[in-house]
Amino acid sequence: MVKKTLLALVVLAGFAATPQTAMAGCATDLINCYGRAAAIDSFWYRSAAGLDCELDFTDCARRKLIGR
Amino acid sequence: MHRAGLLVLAVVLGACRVSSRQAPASASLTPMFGPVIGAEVIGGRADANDEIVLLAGGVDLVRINLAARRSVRVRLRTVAGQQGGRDDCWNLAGFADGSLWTLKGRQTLARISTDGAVVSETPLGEPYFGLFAAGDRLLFQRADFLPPGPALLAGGADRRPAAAWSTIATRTFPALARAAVAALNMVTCGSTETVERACWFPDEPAVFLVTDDGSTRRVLLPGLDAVPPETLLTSDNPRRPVRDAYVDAAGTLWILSSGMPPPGAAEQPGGWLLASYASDGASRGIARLPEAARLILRADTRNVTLVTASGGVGQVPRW
Repeated sequence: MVKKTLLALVVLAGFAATPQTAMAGCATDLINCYGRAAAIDSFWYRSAAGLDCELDFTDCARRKLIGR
Repeated sequence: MHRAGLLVLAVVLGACRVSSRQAPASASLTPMFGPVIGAEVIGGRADANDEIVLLAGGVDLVRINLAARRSVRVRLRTVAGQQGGRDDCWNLAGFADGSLWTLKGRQTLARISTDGAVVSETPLGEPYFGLFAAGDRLLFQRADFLPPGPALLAGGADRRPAAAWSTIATRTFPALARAAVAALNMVTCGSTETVERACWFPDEPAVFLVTDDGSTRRVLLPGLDAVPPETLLTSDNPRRPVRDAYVDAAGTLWILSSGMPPPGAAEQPGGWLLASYASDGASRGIARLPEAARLILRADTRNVTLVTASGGVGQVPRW
């Protein structure tokens, strides 16, 4: 439990370090997704879920940053 | 007297010549037809014979025929799409033989036909952010969370990503989180009528001009403002130095840039500035558009043809 909480804090802090990275819903979705990933028991599944969260974020950001 | 007359004539002709090359402060935009597209994101563009094909909203192809002044929209018939779900696609890569490719989801390369049928699917085994065409090769953008590294990979004979293409490298941003860095390192490549195509990062007023064999040179675009990454990432409709780039047959580089909307204009996706550069980056002028534009469809000897923010197709006289 402590580990999971720490992981959640680390990933959230990492993202919070981005100055107001709140690209509308993209960042909010990411933080929520990180929260769900942090609740996964298995380290490997938790890590994979975290990576999926980041990929979802980039899908979202891609539409805004390079979509035309 | 005769000599003075010739001098006046020369000055007048010279002035005409110069003025024909100067960008108007405000360009006139003549509507041609449309709308051809709605408010959905244009996720890809490819040139296929006489048509320009756009990927609209990740699920539709819009085929635009400029000569005939018409467009046709078809739904991409992916498996999920036919079962009532949706398979979002991103980017289009078209070749001279008429073949058309897209990224389905993050990890599948799909060959599609212009009528929306999925011809074949190839699992890539790892995620990719983008897909383009250069010469007879597919280009893949790696989903790179650990920069620096090559931004683009060229496909091999089996069309799968094989080797680094160009010297465009992903950048590090020590103050930003991994996902934000990955987003800022996403590259877009524009259309070209020469051997060089323009590719760019979303925050830089610069493009990389890359030949089919990957030779790369970076060209700065004077007159366009850089956007701090933090600003770019915090906006829902970020202002981008380069929204689209097109290299015409003469090697002139046309850039659509966000610029600033006029006072009172509704916030909408699109660029308000159309800029022109020589292939060495020398500015040939920046004109303000009367309506925001989303894409440069073509630039010929007389006009630059655009998709406007309202989805119509219109022309701006070139300068």
